Amino acid sequence: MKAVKLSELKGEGVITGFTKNGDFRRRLISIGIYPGAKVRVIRRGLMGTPIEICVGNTRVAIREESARYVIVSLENGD
Amino acid sequence: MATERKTLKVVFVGNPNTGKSTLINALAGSDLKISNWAGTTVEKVSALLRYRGYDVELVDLPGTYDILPNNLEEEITFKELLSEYDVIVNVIDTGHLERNLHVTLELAEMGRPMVVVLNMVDEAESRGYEVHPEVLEEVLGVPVITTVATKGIGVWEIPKAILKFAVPRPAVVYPEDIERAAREIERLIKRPEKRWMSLALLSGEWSPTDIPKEILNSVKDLRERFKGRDLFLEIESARFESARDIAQRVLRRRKEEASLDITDRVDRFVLHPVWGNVFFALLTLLVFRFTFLLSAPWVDYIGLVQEVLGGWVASLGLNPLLTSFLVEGVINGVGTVLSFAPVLFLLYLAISFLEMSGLLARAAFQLDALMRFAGLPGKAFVPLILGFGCNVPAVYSTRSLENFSERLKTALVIPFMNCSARLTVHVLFAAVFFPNVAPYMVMAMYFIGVLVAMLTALAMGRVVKSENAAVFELPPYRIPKASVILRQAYNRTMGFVEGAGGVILLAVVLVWLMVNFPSPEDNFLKLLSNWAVGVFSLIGINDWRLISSLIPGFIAKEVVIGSLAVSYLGGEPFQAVGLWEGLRALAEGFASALLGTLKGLIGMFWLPSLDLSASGGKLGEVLRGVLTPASAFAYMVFILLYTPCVATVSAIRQEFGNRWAALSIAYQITVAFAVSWLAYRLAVLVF
Ligand SMILES: Nc1nc2c(ncn2[C@@H]2O[C@H](COP(=O)(O)OP(=O)(O)OP(=O)(O)O)[C@@H](O)[C@H]2O)c(=O)[nH]1
Repeated sequence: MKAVKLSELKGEGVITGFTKNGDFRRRLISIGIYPGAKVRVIRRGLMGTPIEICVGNTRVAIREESARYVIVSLENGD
Repeated sequence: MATERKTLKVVFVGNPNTGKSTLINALAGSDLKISNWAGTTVEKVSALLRYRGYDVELVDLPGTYDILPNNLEEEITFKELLSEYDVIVNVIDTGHLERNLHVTLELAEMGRPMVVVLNMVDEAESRGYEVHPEVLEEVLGVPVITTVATKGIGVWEIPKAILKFAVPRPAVVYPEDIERAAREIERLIKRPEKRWMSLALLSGEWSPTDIPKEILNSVKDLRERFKGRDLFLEIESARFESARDIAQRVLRRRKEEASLDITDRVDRFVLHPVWGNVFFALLTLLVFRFTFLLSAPWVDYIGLVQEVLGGWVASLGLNPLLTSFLVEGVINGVGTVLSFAPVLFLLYLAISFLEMSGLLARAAFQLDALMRFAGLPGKAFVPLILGFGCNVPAVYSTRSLENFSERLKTALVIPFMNCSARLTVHVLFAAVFFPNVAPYMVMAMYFIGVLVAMLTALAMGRVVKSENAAVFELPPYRIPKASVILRQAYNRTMGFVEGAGGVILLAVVLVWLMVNFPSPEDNFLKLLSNWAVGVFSLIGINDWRLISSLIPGFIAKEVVIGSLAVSYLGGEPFQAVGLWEGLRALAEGFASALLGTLKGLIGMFWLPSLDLSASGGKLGEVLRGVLTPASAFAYMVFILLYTPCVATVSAIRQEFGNRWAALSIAYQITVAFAVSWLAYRLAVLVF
């Protein structure tokens, strides 16, 4: 399985971890971006940021620079 | 004989936007009380419900994604959860059960009696789910109720369930060694929340200061044992796994979900890079049109009431100084406070609607890139946009931002957003001095304001860097209930009148004193202004009267015009008004205000036409005599940038303390001087 940053994800994947800890990570987890959750990129804003993603069945907007610290594994390995 | 009534305190907790306010509204009807949480300006809504011999206090806690707080509002919820109360009502958005359950499972570890409300089951059902509350009831061992708050369905089961006082059983299964460690800490804590606390301590993400040293020490020892493991992540994962498992059993799919729901379809347009931005630009315009067209008749009416009351006082034939104090100090002061109310009420109405419908989050999405450029969080656009209407609610609304530095940054930038009070001054000056290009001059003021705001934010971004995760939820579209929105807007407006009213009143009285002492001819205001002429002549303003009007402008900027008129044209003597004459004027004024409101309701969908054809009348002529176009331009810029008004300053003081309020005043006055000097120099070359 290939892993990418959430900021580089196109389509679907599963969140596997974070590369930044503390409050940053806690905030993401509390809104539903946690390891094991399925994530799908829906669209991006005008300048490529923010990124609208769907985790669980919640829609969340995340800034590109925050998404860089979230690691996602691609399900079908492409 | 009165029977003894028992009192109960019930706190409503849950994710943001799950329907807590709507539920409390449905239960308590009109018995709603609004106040602030101690030490903050975050509004506290509570209601009294009389139910079977109980006086039940229902408290609406700020929405939270997590028990451990991430921002000021969540902090309040957290503190409250550890305080004295009888029952927790956990409100859940059933359509997003899995994430909502995360908070539920944590709450179940707090060891307090609890009721779970699965709200919005209508949405879950329409998406093809069958809801099984009995499963959750079985897991937690507490009453679980299904409701549709907006229709009032099921809400009366809540008080019934509250009286069962059932304490939930913790439902999450943690890895065995973590469980054992948690139990060890639990033994040291003598509070009902001991399980939740021990896990939070063990996770290493909670470092409270008011916990005995020996407990913290043993936590430290225990954490040593887990070296190399990420306890926080393991604990959270266990919770999410449980939540997922439970959610799958409570919500069962009856039929396939429609491939695209309404939210998806609307978002294709609203979040479209082009059409979405056009839509929000028009929507913003509409919100302002709505606010100003509908409030103007009532602001005028308040003015009329002031005039009539003043007339009545004048007709009493009291000592002139006393009459002046009553009319220009007291009546004028109260009138000024009240004249904020229509604008704020309508603005809050619009914002509440946008917030509850889900549109506000979309606007944040569209504007996020711009906010990011200025070094501000995406959510900061709400306070900034509000600032164009009125800076005061804008400052209060910063409390939804994540942390102190982000809130502060935003609050210090807000005063440069050109509020509607300043607009009145700009419109007059533009019409008088730049009749051919008046609309562009007014627009230029907005641009300069935004530019200074951006630069301020950028400069501060260099000083205070934010390390926060920039995320926010895009909730599904919902149609809010009118009664809830009306009540919320009313509560917030009253909150302002009570909170800032005193300060404004005081300022009005102070200005009255400055105008009337030592004598009306040689008053303090004149003395002060004459002294300041030296500085202001740098920006081409040499007449003390122009400067003296800036001080009353500190109360509210629209006052500048009235005060200019008085100092150049002389004040009008108080017109005595007879009782009947006054009453008739009031009745007629009321009728025409109603008519004006109706006209506004239709007119707001038309494009605005700033009426800039007026030459400014007599005042305009006089002003043309004392100011060159260049210095008039500088004066406009100064009005734009100098300290907005006492109400804004008092809001900043309430939110951030004396030091920051003082600093913000000093900063704004400095910037106002610097920029208007620059504007004057440039304008001298151009005009
Ligand atoms: N369809 C549907 N909508 C609901 C229901 N309950 C509430 N709503 C809507 O959901 C939105 C949010 O409701 P609120 O009562 O503001 O939620 P809240 O939990 O108080 O929100 P915060 O104060 O932000 O935490 C509003 O637009 C409500 O009209 C429900 O049972 N069904």
